[in-house]
Amino acid sequence: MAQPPAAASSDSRDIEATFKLLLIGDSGTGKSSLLLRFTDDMWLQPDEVSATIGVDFKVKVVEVNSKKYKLTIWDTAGQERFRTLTSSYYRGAQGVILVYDVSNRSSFEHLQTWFNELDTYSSSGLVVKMIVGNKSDKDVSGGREVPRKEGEAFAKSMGTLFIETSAKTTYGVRDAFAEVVHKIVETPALWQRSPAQRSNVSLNAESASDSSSMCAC
Amino acid sequence: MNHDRTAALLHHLEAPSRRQSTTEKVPPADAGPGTGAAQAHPLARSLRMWNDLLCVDLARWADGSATAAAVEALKNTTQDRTLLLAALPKQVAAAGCDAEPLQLVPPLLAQILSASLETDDDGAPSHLLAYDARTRAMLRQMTFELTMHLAGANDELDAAATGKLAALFLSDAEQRAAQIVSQVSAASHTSSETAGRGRTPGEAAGDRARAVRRWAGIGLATVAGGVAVGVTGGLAAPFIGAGLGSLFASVGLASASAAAAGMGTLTGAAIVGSLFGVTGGGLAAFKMNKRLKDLDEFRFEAVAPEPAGALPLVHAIVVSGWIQTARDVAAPWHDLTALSPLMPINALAFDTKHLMALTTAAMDFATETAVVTTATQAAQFTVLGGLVSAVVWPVGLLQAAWIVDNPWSMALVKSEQAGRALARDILAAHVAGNRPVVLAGFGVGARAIVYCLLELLDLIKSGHRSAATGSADLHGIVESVYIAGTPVAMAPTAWMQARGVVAGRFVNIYSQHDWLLGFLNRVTVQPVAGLGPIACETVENIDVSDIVSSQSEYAREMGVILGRARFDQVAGAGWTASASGSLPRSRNGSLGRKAPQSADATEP
Repeated sequence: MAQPPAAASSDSRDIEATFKLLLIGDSGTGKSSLLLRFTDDMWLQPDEVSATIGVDFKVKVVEVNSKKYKLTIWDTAGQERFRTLTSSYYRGAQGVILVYDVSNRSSFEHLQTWFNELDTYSSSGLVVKMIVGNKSDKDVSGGREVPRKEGEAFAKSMGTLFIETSAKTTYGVRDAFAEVVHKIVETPALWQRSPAQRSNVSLNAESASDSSSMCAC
Repeated sequence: MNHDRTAALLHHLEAPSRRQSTTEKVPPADAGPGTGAAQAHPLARSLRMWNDLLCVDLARWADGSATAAAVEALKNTTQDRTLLLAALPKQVAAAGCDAEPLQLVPPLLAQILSASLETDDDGAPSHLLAYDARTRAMLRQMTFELTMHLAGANDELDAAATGKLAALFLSDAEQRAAQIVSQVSAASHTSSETAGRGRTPGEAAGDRARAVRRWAGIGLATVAGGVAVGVTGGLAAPFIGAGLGSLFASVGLASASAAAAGMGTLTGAAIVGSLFGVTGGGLAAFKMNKRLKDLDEFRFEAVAPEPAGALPLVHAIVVSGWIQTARDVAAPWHDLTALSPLMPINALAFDTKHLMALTTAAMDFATETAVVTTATQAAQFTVLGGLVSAVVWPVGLLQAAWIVDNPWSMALVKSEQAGRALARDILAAHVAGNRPVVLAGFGVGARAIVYCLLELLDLIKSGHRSAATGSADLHGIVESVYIAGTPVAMAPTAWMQARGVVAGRFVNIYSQHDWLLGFLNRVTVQPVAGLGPIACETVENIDVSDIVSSQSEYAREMGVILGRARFDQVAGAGWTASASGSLPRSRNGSLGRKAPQSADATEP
């Protein structure tokens, strides 16, 4: 599904649309590792990685149904001390990936908090959500604390997509992003009238009514 | 100086925390739950450090006697603010930041920022809010110092990470301050409405007019918000800003110009009709056409639109200089969002047909003269570090020069005109409000930026006053400048002068392998900025010879290049080292900024 980009960003002529994805979740759940695996197919040893500062940002072009889409993926800091105004990152996001660590129960239990934040700040109710249980390779070492069934059940109760991944072994990583993109593509209301980045006309429904009410007075 | 007004504003901002501290009789420093003295201590120290730094910085910038007086006054207000901030931790803690000292930084900064938003420019309408580029330049440095101070305790952040975090914190603070200001303005208006019952209608109208004008400073879009408040008696207050960012984006800067011009002549509710009248009418286009008759095209494209909430207190204008298709106006700048997520970015497009002609011609030229297309071959032509007039060009190149020379000289003329128009009609007219702008550009776009600075300089010399706001201070508009591959050859003294209208960083990005730029500038006597360092100690020079070997590559690499330049962060070189003692130099061979202690007051 999700093909790696063929060439550099300069031949972005035939890009169908640009999607903004957001990675959120507790610190240490592997958000940055997931992203690094997806965009650069790289994996860093635990002692090589450092906490994300504020937000990181990667771009990747993927192909869905032989149309190209540009993904801008925002990787937010999980650590409280390095977080910055997260609310502003939600603006305009079409997809949100909530990451927990299957070997860390509390990161799973905190998902509800993340959902609350998402509901507070997300600009659109349609935004595509996916729960990702990362570090599924810990099965082998017996470190799993959250059974897959439990994750699935929670995702079902929240009405979101669900997948287990391992950034270390690449298991499920590509599928996770591909599924989110597919869902966004299938929900044109999310992106077709959203403020296109190049467009000067960026009125969403709410602000349009505001400005018109001012014009009336 | 209007101490009374500042004090009143501060009082308003601080009211909640004062109430709390008086009722509870707890020393505010110990109020942070679970953290106590350990938290208050570094904060107090940091604040003292800020104060010292501020004075050092001010001494650096101060030159004439007028600024010296302002510096003296600012020193005093800083003392006041230090006292005031001592009462803050309680309030900050209430904001949910009690767990993590680092997280205190944005709210603290926001308080300082909101307290400094009022302008003292003589002749400006009173109660005008303005965010001065110089304030921002200093705040950025302070943010970095404080972040480093608080994070440095456990020594887990390197300088690059600290710089990034500090830049994000400053963005946070700016957004918070924007929210504070909009709340205060709305609240003060409402209170004056209720108190106004016992007074004459004239006084109430005066209050209203002041409330409107107070808004006028922040941004054009906000002007419309202030107008709405004036008319509906505060009922519209919740809507302020909500629809205005998009209004700003949708009408474009062209019509905004006319609206801002209207502000100078009309006050209060009378603005409403005229404001919305001109927005719909043809006046905007007419004015723009008349003034910009030299340019066929002068428009802005939103790269990262103004958000619909509280307006960001800083914005960026970017200019591409290498345009193959219309998309290239904005496309090179999309990755900038990654470096500065909250910054609204507008790309300036001027006479794109000329730029397209140049691009096409340059590509034809390159094909025609394939002899010098590799970087190694090209390097010999530019090895003299930018002084290209001494190079002996191959005859083959010179014979084909006609292909590119004509569109090139056209692009040079147009970029100069566009730059001067940007200074005159957009920046000096405060079309985007009294807030700092960050300018970035490459190729002839960078040239437009340089001429924009030169035009600002000319306006300053001619004693320009803005028709819209009455503000005469053009030194406080441009916060930072990032130019890459700049086809401008000027004497170092001229660069020094242009540097003077930039409050924060001035970054020159060059590639010694840019043979096309060297060839096009083969007749210049002065060193070309895009080919080598600018010999001016307050300019940061960044070498991207390893990334860029021709003008055309800037468009593709702008994100990487500006990342290397630490876009919107503190400068990586010398002068932070004096404060921290341990910052590694990020670049080799660059002329770092001097340490503040040793710097002479060289800035105009």
